Amino acid sequence: MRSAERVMVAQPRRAALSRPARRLLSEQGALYPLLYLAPFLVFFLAFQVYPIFYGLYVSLTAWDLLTPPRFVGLANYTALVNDHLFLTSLHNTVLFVVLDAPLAVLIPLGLAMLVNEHMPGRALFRSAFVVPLMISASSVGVLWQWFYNPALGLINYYAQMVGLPGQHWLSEAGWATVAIVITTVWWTSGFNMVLFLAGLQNIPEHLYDAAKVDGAGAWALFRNITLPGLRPTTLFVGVTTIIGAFRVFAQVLVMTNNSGGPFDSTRTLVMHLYQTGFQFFRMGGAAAVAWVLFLIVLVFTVIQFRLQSGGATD
Amino acid sequence: MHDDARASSVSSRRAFLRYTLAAVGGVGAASLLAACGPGTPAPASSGGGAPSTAGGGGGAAATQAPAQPAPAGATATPNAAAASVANPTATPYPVANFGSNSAKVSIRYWTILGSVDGIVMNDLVRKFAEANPDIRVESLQGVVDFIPKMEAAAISSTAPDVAIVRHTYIAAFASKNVLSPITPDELSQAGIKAEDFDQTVWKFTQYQGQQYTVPLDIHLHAMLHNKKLLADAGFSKPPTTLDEWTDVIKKTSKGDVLGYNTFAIGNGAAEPLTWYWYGISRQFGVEMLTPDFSKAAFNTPDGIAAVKWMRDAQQTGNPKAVPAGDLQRTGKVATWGDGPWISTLYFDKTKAEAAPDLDVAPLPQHDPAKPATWAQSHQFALPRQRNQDPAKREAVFRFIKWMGEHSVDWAKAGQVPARNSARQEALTTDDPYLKKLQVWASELKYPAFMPSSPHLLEIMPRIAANVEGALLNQWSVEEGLQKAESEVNQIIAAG
Repeated sequence: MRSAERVMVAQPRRAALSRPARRLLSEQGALYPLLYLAPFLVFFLAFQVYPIFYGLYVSLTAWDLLTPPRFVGLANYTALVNDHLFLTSLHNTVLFVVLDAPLAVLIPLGLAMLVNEHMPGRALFRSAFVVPLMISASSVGVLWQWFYNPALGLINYYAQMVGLPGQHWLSEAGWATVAIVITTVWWTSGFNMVLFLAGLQNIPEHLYDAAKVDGAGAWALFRNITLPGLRPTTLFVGVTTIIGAFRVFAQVLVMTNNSGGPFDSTRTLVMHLYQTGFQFFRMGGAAAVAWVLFLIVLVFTVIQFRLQSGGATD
Repeated sequence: MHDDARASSVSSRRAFLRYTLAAVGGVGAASLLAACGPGTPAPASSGGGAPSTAGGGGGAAATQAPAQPAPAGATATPNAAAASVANPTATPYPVANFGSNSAKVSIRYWTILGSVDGIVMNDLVRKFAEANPDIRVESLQGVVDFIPKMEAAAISSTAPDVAIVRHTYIAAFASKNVLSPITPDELSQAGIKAEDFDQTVWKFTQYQGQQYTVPLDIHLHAMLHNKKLLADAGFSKPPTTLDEWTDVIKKTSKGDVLGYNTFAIGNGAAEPLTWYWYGISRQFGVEMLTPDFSKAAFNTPDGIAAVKWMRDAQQTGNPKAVPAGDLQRTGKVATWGDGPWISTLYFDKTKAEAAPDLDVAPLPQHDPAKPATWAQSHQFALPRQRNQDPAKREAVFRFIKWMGEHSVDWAKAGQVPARNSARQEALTTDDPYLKKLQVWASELKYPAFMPSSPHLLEIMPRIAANVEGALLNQWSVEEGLQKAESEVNQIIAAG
């Protein structure tokens, strides 16, 4: 009896954490969400955030992975100013973005509007437009290399069937860029189409009905209801498309056999980065290119947000 | 009832979609299989074409073409014939294991030898394993992206025990601690003596006072020509000077016949084009770098004249830069520069229709009094290991010694042995292929080896890219050499 009494008396336990800490981690505490985020945060900080800042450090060194890094300050960045190969890569990448981004935003918008209509096989079309996304970049590159083969490829075959002259797509300096743009648009349209589709379906039907009652035509409907309703989607799609276009690499690598295209005409920034860092093991130079690319993309993103900041926030 | 109708229409629509997608998938797969089917006319051309594409494709531009381009000029761009496009970045040969699993020592062996060389080398490795049952060799020929792979392997301590490198790689690899030095004791224990080898290529084994490699062979450029096409244009002998060559090109380029094709053009501006450019430039007395390797030295009036000759030859002989690999085999190209590794391809009737008409002559010279022709050497190297196993190292030296003693067999791959005794034997034989090799060997009196600069690996693709643009009239020769010079100087200055 006495032992049972002894057991029933609650022993005061030493708390593992101090009271303020416990309060923060309790259900009302400010740090409570962190507990749920912790698993993701660990990986995010370790594999995404830390490498970014480590890359900044590497960009201030000369390092070939085989010998210890040597601090060189901003030398890697100042070297880029006169680096003709880097400037060519920058020019090619900007050209690619200018060609690809509008197409990669407008075409999916059109596709989304088409598959938003009620028609037989609508789900089939939606799937068909999204399927290219499932193919890896290398497979897309190899596939389209075959399509663009001047003698044996489908593109020239069908072009000549309708009377257009066949081109030496991937071996002519101007056409190679166009060819890669077409390939990229084909490959990535599905993603933006799905986003636009979701955005379209968020526009209340009754707005269209009301406008039609007022006698609005198709173009007026599009300009006054669809476009403004899609503004947040368009901003997101535009930003991610431009960022993705600046980072174009894998399909160019495969389609030009890692040469940067006929006469360096398809050499992109990331390809320059890849060759500098992983073929010549100039890690410092490559990290500098990466940070320059980051700053360029940041500028574009900020500009875009400013241009569209008057939009709906719902 | 409305729901029932919708439900049944949903399920039938799903069934419809399922069947349609299955049909589309089946048709797609069938057409892909049909398209990727064998389209090569002859095994050698795919053996030559695919690995050279694999080499040129996988390692093009900034690295090197790991495979010796067997049909010179076989391109890696998709407008080549189907055979060359098949495998853009595959390693030509899978890892081959020679020797039993119960062997005491196992060594790993990587080479940059693609196409014909790789096949012959594997044959030699097999013979070595049979003669040395206590050693097992894991052999990987024609490693694609050889240079980055070797450096990455050195960084991660997974490098092979022995590798074949080009002599141009030695300075770069040694300066980055990728190779381990060979001590004089190891050499004498393995019975490898400097006097046994050609002295010029023995010099390449040294870097900053240490020995890093053992020479295997030497290869150079000579001129392949189609005797029938030359005879049809009125030439009974091949040209011996560049001016005569220009004349031959002009007169043989008619109809669908190409008078000339530049070695390794259209390969994504990989290092082999630099090899060819270097040989021709040396004929004009132009060197790639200053003697201290600190600056480019090729942007001179003579350098411009050399590239202008190359450009005019290309524009006369093959102005549209049509891929010439298959055309050379089928007798539609009159002249081109090439190395001896193609002997077993172009001189074999079963592999090349035009073989009876094809012959080799020494490369024509700009000034016969000051001849020069591009030369390069394959060397055995021992990559640095984190924990060097002495048994493996000893096995490697036995391997190298055996290979040196049997390099007459290596000559059958179309390489001139670096070992003096083997070279004598190979060049005084009656074997028909080896007789052709003697033409290349006759140029050994005036080889032009590229400078052993540690930056050579980065420099070569940039020279190739800028020269190729000039040859194909993308920009002027002056501009191309100007750009090449500034890029080369920047690479060297970046350290």
